[in-house]
Parts: sequence; C-alpha cells; structure tokens
Amino acid sequence: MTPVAERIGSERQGEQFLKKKARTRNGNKHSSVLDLTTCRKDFPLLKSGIIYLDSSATTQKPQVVIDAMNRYYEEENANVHRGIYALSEQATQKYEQAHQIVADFINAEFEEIIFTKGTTESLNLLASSLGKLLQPGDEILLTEMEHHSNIVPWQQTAKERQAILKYIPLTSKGTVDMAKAKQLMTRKTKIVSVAHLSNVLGTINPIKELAQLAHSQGAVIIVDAAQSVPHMPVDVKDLDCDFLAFSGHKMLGPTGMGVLYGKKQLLEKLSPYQYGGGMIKEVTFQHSMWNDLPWKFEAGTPNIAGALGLAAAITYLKKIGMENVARHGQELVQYALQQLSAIPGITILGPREHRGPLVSFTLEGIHSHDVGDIAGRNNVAVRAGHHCAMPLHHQLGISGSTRASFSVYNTKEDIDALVAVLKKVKEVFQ
Amino acid sequence: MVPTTSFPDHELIADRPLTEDEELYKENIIDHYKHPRHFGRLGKYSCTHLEHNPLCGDRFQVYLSIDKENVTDVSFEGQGCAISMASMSLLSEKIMGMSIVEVRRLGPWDIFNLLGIKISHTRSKCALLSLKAVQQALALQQQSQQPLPQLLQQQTQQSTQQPLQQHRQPIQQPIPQPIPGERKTKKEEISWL
Repeated sequence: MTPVAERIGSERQGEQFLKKKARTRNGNKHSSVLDLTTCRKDFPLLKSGIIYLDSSATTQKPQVVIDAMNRYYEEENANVHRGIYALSEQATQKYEQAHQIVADFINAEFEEIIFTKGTTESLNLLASSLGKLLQPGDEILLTEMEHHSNIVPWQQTAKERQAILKYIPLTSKGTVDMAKAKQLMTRKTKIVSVAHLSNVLGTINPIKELAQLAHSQGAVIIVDAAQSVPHMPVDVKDLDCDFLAFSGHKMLGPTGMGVLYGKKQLLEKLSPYQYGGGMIKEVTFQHSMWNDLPWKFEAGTPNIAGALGLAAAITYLKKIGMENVARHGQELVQYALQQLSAIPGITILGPREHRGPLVSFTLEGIHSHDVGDIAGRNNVAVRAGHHCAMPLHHQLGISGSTRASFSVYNTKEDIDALVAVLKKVKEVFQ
Repeated sequence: MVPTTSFPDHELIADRPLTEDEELYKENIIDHYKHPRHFGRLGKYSCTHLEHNPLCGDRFQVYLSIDKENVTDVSFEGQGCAISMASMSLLSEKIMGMSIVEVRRLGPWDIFNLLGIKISHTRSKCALLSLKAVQQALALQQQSQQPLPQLLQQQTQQSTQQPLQQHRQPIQQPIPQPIPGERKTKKEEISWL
C-alpha cells in the first residue's frame, strides 16, 4: 500500500470515519433534504423542456455531478496511487472515498467494490475470471429476460470452457418460473446470473430465493443490478448475492463508470481480468504478484473523474433518500400503467405489480420505431426496439417494443404527454 | 419500374422544416408499409442476402433473380418499421429490370427520392436497409465467382449467410428432471472456486 492509502486506511478506522459511515448508511431513514417535486431544476438538460422518458437507457445528470467532474479536471487532476505530491494524494484520497461511498450505498465493504466502465464490463470480468474455473459440462444458468450484456459474455465462456448454457423460462406474467428454476438448479450448476430488475418487463426478480437455491447447490449467484440500484434500496448482505454489477450512468452518474461488487472471500480466489499497472504489488521480468483488493481488478489508470461523478450522484440520491426514490418510481409506474392500458390496441409487457419504474408496450400494427420517431418529433423521448434483449423479444413473438422509463425528475405530466403522443401515433397509422 | 417522379425532389423538401408527422408518414409510405409489394420468397433465385438493423431489430432477406446483366425478378421477406418496409417495397419495384451495374450504383439519395420525404440521420439507417440488402446480395454473388482466401471466405459465410428462419425460432432449453435425493436445503460451500 502507498503511504496515502495507509493513511486513509487508518482514517477509516477513526472516529470521524465511523460517524460518517453511520450517517450515510442510515441516510434513508433521515428526512429527505432534497424534495422530489423540485429536483427537476437540478438537471440542466431538462431546461430545454424535453419530456425525457428514457432513463433506463441513461439518466440525465444533476448539476452536482457535472460540477464534481469538472472540478476534478479544473482543480484536482492528477493520477491516483502513483504520485506522492499533494495533488496526487488528494486525487487518491477522493478516488478511494468514492469506493467507500459506493460500498456504503449497497452495504458492502471497501475491498469488495471494484470500479469498471459499466455493468457490461463488470459481467465480462466475471465471465472471464469465473469462467477460467469452469470444467466441461458445468452449467451456467440465466433467465430468458436477460440483457445482452448478461447473455453474450456467458455464451463465449460456455463455448471456450465447453460449459452448458441454460435459461430459466418465464411465466405468462413475465416473471421467473420459480418451479422451473428449482428443477434447473442442480449440482452441475456453477453460475447463476440474473437481472434484479428486467429492463424490458420491469419485473423485480426474487433474488433472495434464487440465491438460496443457487447456494444450496454450491453455485455462485451474480446479480445484474443495472436497473435496480438506481431505483430502490439495495443491500448486498440482505440479498446474499455473491456478485452484483451496476452502472453509474443509469443512476444520475457519468457514462464509462460502473461497479462490480463481490464477496471478499470469492474475489480473493479469482484471478485478475486485465493486467498492467496498478493491479500489481511486485513485478519481475517473468512473474508478478497481484495487488490487494479491490486494486487487483483495476488495471491501468482508472476513470477518476467518473468515480467522483458517481460518488456525487450517490450523495445526491441519498439526499432524496432511496425509499423516496422507490416510492416516486412506483407512483409513476402505477399511473402510467393505468393511463396506458386505456389506449385501444396497446399491449403492456410484464407484470402489473412488483415492478420497476418502466413500462414497455406494443401498439397493434405499428412498429416501435415509428412510435419512437413520432414521439421524438413531439419532444417525447422514449426507447424503441429490442432494448438489448433480442432473445426475450423473440420469445415474446414481437420484433420490438416501445419503452417509457422514469427517474426522480419525471412527473405525471410527462406520462400525460406520452399518452397524448400515442394518440397522435394512432391517428397517423389509422 | 415505378416512376420516381411521383414525389417532389428530395432536396426541395429538405429545405423546409418538417412540421407534421403526416409529412413523414405520407399515405404512400403507409400504403407500402401495410401492403408491401414483391413480398415473399421467389421460387427460383440467383442470390439472397439477409440484412439487419440491430438498432431497431428490422431485418429483410432479399431474393434476386438475375441473368447476365439485369435483375429479372426480386422479392423480400422480413419485418421492419414503416420507413424500412416502404423503402424495401419501393426499391423492389424500382430495380425490376434494371441492370446490375445500375443497381450497384444506386446511392442513398436514390432511396430518399423514392421515399420523397426528409429522413433524419437515425432513420436513414431504416431507409437504407433495403439498399444495403440488395447491394450486398449482388456483391456476394459477384464475390462467389472470385473466391477469396480461405480464411476470409469462412468469415464472410459465418457473418452473412444465416437463413432468416433461424432467427425466428424461440429459444427452447431442455429442462432436466431433478434427480431424487440429490437436493439439499442447507447452504453448501462453493467448492469449485
């Protein structure tokens, strides 16, 4: 460890640190400092008047996040874990603090938080490092509702390791068929990787039950939490998942910034994903010794500004309170379901209850791309297509769907605007 | 061949802002979308190609029947949005009887003129999917007469020559039956790690 890291390490055990940690961890229970009804003004892009309903793809950024990143480049820019001058020490300290802020946010430990460039890279890291341990005939179990980022890496790993890729089917409601899940999990199952919240169906999966099933067979469970961490309180200890991945840019933070959580004892056993500077303790011409966690998995100069931006985003979300964020999302999605289902010819995908703040739907006889285009021309931004879940759409027998997804800055008026635009779409295609 | 003069010149339209959705989704486009011409599979064809637009999941498989110089027949299968479907339908009408050289020379502006509307940057991918499919089918036909080095040939085949049918099959995974007595409820060590 560098002297800076040691100092931060000792500070971490200090009284000040513990006080801060207690405060951040209980942040949800405190009365919210930020008001959801006024937080829209914190997002400079929304001042244009756009009805932004594509937050599951990426959220807009509050000024505090933009400021945190600009401040780094304007006043604090130096490499981390390398220089011993004050500027570099400060950058290192802030970068390490960002790990702690993320760890507190999902109730993990500092060493268990690896910064990546996004959920996709986090899952690729696991497919690569866990994949090396697979034997021919071992099974990887996914669900039919996964995003491409939680399918394609496993397909490649399965091919390389001669492992078998299996999928837990869905019920007609769009939830994971738990009876089939029980049948599919056997001693051969080594990896179970599932979305916490489906980016198409909105389904919130029963991770605790799936984790229990996976663990009873000696398998590890990975949670793709790209859509859940931004919208609800997530506690990795409560879920008892072995790994959990999410992205910064879907939770008010910057792009190119993601997180992989892993249980410490498991991360210690995995081999690194990428090799180079920063992830080593000692290098000779022939051999190298890996650095401690989490740095063992962070090769090369990291996305420092991104880490500071993510930390600022989490701090912002905590000021609102994740319970409040979740409640707001529920209000919006229930309102959207109610308003949209009154439109003739609409089919809403996914379950009606226990779902995240997004709604995907199809309009009879109209391609989702045409819906998205006309909506866009009327200043309503929705996602159209297969939302990086082609197998799911094939399984549902549709070529694509239109998705409206919400974040803290959305209001019921945004949903009214969507409904109005959908009526226009129907007129054009009548 | 369909006269391309039934629409005003594209550049004239591009000069004025698009104000109404109806401008984009003109009756003619909606008509070609709902009743695509040349839809289906030719009984006998010289070359075929499947082209995707991964952005929106549009895909068209084009079947071309050609003699030495000309396109003698054309058809297509697949699905897409109003713009891509209308474009595919209009282009099929246009290239009937055209010479292969002429078809390979067609550019984006020919398609935009066929559609007769202003096309945004994103939607141009939809509009041009048809042209890409047709030209790629002809290119592959020509390539097959001048074989590539083996390594590259394999790549070409893998990436472009999958029949449409394969993409429509739902994923079916066999569900193994549980082995009696094998299940344990207590938490196990992850021993393989």
